[in-house]
Amino acid sequence: MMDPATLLAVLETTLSQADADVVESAITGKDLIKAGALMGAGICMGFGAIGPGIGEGFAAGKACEAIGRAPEEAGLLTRTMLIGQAVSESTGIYSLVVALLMLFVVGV
Amino acid sequence: MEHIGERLIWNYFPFTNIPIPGGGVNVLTIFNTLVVMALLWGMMWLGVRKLTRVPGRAQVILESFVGLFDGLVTSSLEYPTRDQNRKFLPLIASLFMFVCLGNFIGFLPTHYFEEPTADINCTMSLGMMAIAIAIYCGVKAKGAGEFFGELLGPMWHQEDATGFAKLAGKASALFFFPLNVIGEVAKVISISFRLFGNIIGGAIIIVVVSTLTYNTFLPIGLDLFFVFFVGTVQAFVFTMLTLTYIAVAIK
Repeated sequence: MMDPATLLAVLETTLSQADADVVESAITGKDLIKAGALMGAGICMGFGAIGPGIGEGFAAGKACEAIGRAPEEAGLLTRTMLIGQAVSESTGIYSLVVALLMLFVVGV
Repeated sequence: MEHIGERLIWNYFPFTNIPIPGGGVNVLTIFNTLVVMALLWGMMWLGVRKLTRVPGRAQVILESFVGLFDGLVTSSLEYPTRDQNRKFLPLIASLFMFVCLGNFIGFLPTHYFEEPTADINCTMSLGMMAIAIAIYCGVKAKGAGEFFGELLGPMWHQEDATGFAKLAGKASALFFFPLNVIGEVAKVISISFRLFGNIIGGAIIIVVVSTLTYNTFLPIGLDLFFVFFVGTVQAFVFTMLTLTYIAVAIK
């Protein structure tokens, strides 16, 4: 258990952080940059995922239609679909890289 | 989770205080590259150790692998003779093997095995190598004048135009030349960042999930998808794009 003197000291330290001047100087430009970078990473990833999502879903749907018409070509169609999807994914990957830069380089 | 994105960098030569020129070396990338090369060498040695007319298990695997890539190279390059196509087979097949095994090596759960392809230096150099080989093959197949003349745009080469139309065609190169040069540079960026982003994205997702579950279980399902499936697909895509760049350059 803590002795009363230590407890008082801890309490005083905790309370003293609520001082007006301390609170005012708590947010600096660095914090703003970090907040902006984290928000930017979220926005970047969210909007960057829309295009690849739609594109890959479209490719998968068309591949399903084609497999339905020609089931014996399923292997070739799946392979072609995967390559096309991996290529059309690249814009999403760019936004992932930008988001990672913001998270781990700018926002540190 | 704070160590995400950090890589071990040696700033000095080991056991000395001589600084390494260029700002340091990603030592784990080099180490893992050598490990992957040693593993590939060992696998190839095991496969071709005893070549027989009725092949054993390892020889069948290697033969079907080489046959698959032989078919891919032949169908995309379309050189008239078999030997000309065969010249690209070692490049394409070893590129695939290296990238694929380099993606898989992050599966080993120690800190010393990181994917070499999760380092932008590795993927960027592979991409630059691919584009440089494509340009070299293009120059060799068509000649330097014709190959680099294509960068000047389609309207530079009109023979029957006269007067103002010819002048406008020549002037259009001012627009087309920077566009085509940027297109060539963008190929390097695109092919290398695709591989890098996929691999490091999967690695970060695995680290985040492991941290959220306090490392109580190996995220086997995540490893199966992000390491093995995505790794194979991205290695295949990287190889196919290299092959496509070469095929576009020589035609």
